[in-house]
Amino acid sequence: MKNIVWISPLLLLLLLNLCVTPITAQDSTLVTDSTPLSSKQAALSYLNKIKFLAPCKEWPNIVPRLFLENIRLNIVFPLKFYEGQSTNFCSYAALTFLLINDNPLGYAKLMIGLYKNGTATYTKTRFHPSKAVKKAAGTLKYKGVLDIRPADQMWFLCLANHFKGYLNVFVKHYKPGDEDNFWAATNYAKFNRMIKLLLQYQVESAGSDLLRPMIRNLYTYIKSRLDSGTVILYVNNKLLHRTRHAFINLAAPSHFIIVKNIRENEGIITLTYWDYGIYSQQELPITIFKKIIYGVSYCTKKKN
Amino acid sequence: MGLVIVPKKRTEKLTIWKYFFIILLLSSCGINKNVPVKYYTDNRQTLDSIQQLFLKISVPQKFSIGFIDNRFNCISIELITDSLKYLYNFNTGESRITDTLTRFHIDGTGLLNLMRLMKSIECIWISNIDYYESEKKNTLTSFSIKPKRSKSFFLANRYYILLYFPVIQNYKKNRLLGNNKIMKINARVAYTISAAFR
Repeated sequence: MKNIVWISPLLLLLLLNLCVTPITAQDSTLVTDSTPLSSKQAALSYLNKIKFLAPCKEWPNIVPRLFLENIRLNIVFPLKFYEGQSTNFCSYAALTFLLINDNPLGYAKLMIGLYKNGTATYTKTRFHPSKAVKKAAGTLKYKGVLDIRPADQMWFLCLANHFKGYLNVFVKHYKPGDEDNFWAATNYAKFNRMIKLLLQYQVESAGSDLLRPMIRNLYTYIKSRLDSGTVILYVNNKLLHRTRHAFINLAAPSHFIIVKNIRENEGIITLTYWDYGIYSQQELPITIFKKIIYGVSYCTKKKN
Repeated sequence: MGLVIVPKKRTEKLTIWKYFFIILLLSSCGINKNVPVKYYTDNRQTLDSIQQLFLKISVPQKFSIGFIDNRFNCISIELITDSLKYLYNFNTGESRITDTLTRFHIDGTGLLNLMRLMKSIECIWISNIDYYESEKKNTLTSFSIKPKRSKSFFLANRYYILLYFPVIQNYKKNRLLGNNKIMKINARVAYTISAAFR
């Protein structure tokens, strides 16, 4: 009985979340604007003007030289943006991948401002990271190439610290190691909210954290939207990388991927997607393809 | 039917048995930390040969490979090129595997030998992991092993990961791989317990 008392608020939040996320998908007008807000050249010339970046007391473990190199690398090769091994940063990486491609100058200014002042504002979102987060940035280890990318560590920790969903209810304050657990986790509604707030995109979402999207032909739906915008899938990672070792595979989504291309041939879907700093290509039987997808977010720019 | 009065000594004995069974049950739920050390000692030669062979074959084309089923019949391979990572699943003996290996210039005989060795010691995944020390890139080889007892419900998703470091390690600091603590076997080999095998 005690357990039920503890679990019931969580269930209530989950149900509320299901209500917030639209499950049905409507056809939208597929004519959108994809012009970037700024160019790579503008961002690089802005960075080139910064000859010297002094060590900052706000971020005691960030090496300024590595920080600048990291931002420059992200702008030149946004494809290589990496969320780190076994972290819960995949949603933040997907979001930032879009941000760097769309507005590299805005991204560079945001990062430099955040480093110099300890706080920053982008669109209408004001980032005010906690002391624990500021101390942790630059110290994450054994996360692959993220180890030597202090700017990315800083940014991921700031995003996880700022945006909260029902999965973060019980772990609100950062402790070392929390980047791999519920403190950094992202549910589907939170992800869509982040895209809307930070990128000011229009998001047409279908799906939820527990139920798969009610779309008759998922392949056609994704394919039709790829030409006019960005499609992000919320997937069950354990089924995406299939294993038959366990008795029970929890039917729950846990990973965000950005679709680059999709095609179908004799019941096999070839999916090309971006995650972990590289495009991956995978062949999936159509039954598995339907099983792995829990959310489809179609993102386009708002018409002002 | 009257009220049965159980003697005090007997109830005490029952309590002791209860505690004993609870302890037994709890200990069977835990993961045995001596298993990876024993596994390494028993299979050291094969593990060393697998590592040498893997390092040799993966020079022209970086890849990770392993088995994704309990019967070691289904192979999964991740081929990493400059621009794209390809993920393929095959059944052993499928002809598609040869075409793929030819396309990516991988030594087919060497790979089949590697798979045979892995199967012989029930190693389910092998890959190279990059890690950084003082901004310098190093690469370690990781072997994933599924504990036999993990067929139980409680341990369904737990794997032993053996780590072959390229250089002698300092274990004095509390070291982690992901969120899992690295534990020493010898100066260059360590292990960790993880929920993910790749």
